Amino acid sequence: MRWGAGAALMLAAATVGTLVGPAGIGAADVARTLLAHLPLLDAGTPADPLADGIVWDLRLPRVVLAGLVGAMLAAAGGAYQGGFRNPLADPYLLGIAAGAGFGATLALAYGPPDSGASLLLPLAAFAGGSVSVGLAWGLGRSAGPAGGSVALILAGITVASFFTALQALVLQLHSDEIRAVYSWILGQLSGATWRQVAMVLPYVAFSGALLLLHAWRLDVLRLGDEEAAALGVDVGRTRAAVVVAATVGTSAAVAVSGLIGFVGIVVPHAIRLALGASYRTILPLSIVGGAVFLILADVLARSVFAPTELPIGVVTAMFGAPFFALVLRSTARSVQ
Amino acid sequence: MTAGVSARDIAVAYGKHAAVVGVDVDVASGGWTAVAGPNGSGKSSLLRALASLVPYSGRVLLGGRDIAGMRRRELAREVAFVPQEPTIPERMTVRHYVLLGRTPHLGPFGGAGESDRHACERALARMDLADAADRQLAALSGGEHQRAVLARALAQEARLLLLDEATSALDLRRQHDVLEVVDALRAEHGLTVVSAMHDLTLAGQYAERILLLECGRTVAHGTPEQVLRADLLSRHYDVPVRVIADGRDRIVVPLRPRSAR
Repeated sequence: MRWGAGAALMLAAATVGTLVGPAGIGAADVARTLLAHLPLLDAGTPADPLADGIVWDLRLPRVVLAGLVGAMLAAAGGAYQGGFRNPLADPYLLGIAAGAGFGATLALAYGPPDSGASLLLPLAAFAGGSVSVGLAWGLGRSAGPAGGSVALILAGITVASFFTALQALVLQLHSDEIRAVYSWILGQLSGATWRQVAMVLPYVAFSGALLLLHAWRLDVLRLGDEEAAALGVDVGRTRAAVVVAATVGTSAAVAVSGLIGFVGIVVPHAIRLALGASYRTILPLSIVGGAVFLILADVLARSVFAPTELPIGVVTAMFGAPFFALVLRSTARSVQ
Repeated sequence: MTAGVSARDIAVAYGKHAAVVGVDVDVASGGWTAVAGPNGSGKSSLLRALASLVPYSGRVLLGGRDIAGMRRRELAREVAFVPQEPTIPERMTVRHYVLLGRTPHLGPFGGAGESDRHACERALARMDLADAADRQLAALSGGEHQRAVLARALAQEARLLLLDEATSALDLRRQHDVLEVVDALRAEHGLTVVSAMHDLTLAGQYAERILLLECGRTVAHGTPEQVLRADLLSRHYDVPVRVIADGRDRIVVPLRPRSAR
């Protein structure tokens, strides 16, 4: 029942995402284009080539990519919150996105000319993301247990600022790539291609599957490290597996989409508030909710001031920042 | 295979501070040993060593097997540990909490099956929590929390139960209710129990043997009659103590120090 509702919601968001656009293509034409591309069906005749190109090569890959990236960022956010036992953890606030962004910038600036479309970009993004999550975790812990949630987030912000500064430095030295990098930072969804979808899909599938397999153990981790160990959970290995999986997925998502904040906070917390705090609920529904959220955010980004597009990160921040304030307030209350 | 525990020369240190020094513990399968001693005497650390939750030196044999060679999951199927101050997660129902006790019995990534749910319901019923199963943990009273933690440990179906001050938060009646359940499990299933206890009267009523620690070392070890003696307790707790014999029970009453009057 819940899964049926999730699938229907995702389908509805994808439909809206495919129908909305400045070209004003009717629903019938959109449907005919989609049918024409379905294999083995041989049903529809293709609509006119222009509509076909817009729907199949521009809108649909963009919707699918937004769905994949949103699903990944939300699931990773939920997983970081469970793995670090910190309600404020999020790929963006932990500095992982900034680290991955720096790695990707290095690849664009120093890599071979076509590295933007090769495997090098996600790998460089992953390296950057891993280094920053390690730094944030180490720095947060060095503050001792008294620091708690806040220390980890402050450490993440510190790491993020550092990598953002390094990125700016590299860009100053490579002004030729500055346009490519900045359009990437502000959100790459506008240039989404099927190739990008194919590139990010395996990482999202691997990472998502690994996180779902760890949902029960994330619930056990909610009891604290010692009690989880007494229940037979290898705490260190579980935490490492969850953080690696979330970082792999986040880095791949950042590599194709640029920096999109707050998805990892808004979606898992909305699910937590509405449907309960078990990770066996939060993780699968974050995948659905993250996809829906980012597809719809992208629809807003390209239609509110059409034909001018807003960077998608601006839209997610508009929703995310007030929501984050809400989470912060309720966290502060539960700590007191 | 018996589930008795035999620990030799156990030592636990936190940095330079030695919490437990050269302690031996032997509890036969189905036996109950209470660990007593003043605050900071090493009771909790000893229990944690028996569950391999802290680094320790010495050997802990469980049914003849060294626990150092056991994987965490395997050990958790044998040993259940009830901490003094359990973490109470927000937004978790009592049933979900107790079901987490089944973790060591699940496949590496699996969810709970039929037998796990049955074990969970049995544990809830035994701890008189069946009616509270769908309530939020955070909405329970302190005593109900304590029973929920014990239910989780029962659902674990381990053969050695380590209780770290598990009944301190309960009222007089509930303390006995819970300890009677543990005693019944001991009689029915041969559960072996090691419990750290401040209440020496209760310790004498339930445990067959009492291990008295001071500064991490064993200072007395024997039956309640041998250990619950006024002179011994007065010396090690540094407070005048009167022990009143009431049938088989030994009622331990600390007296107000003379200097305070």
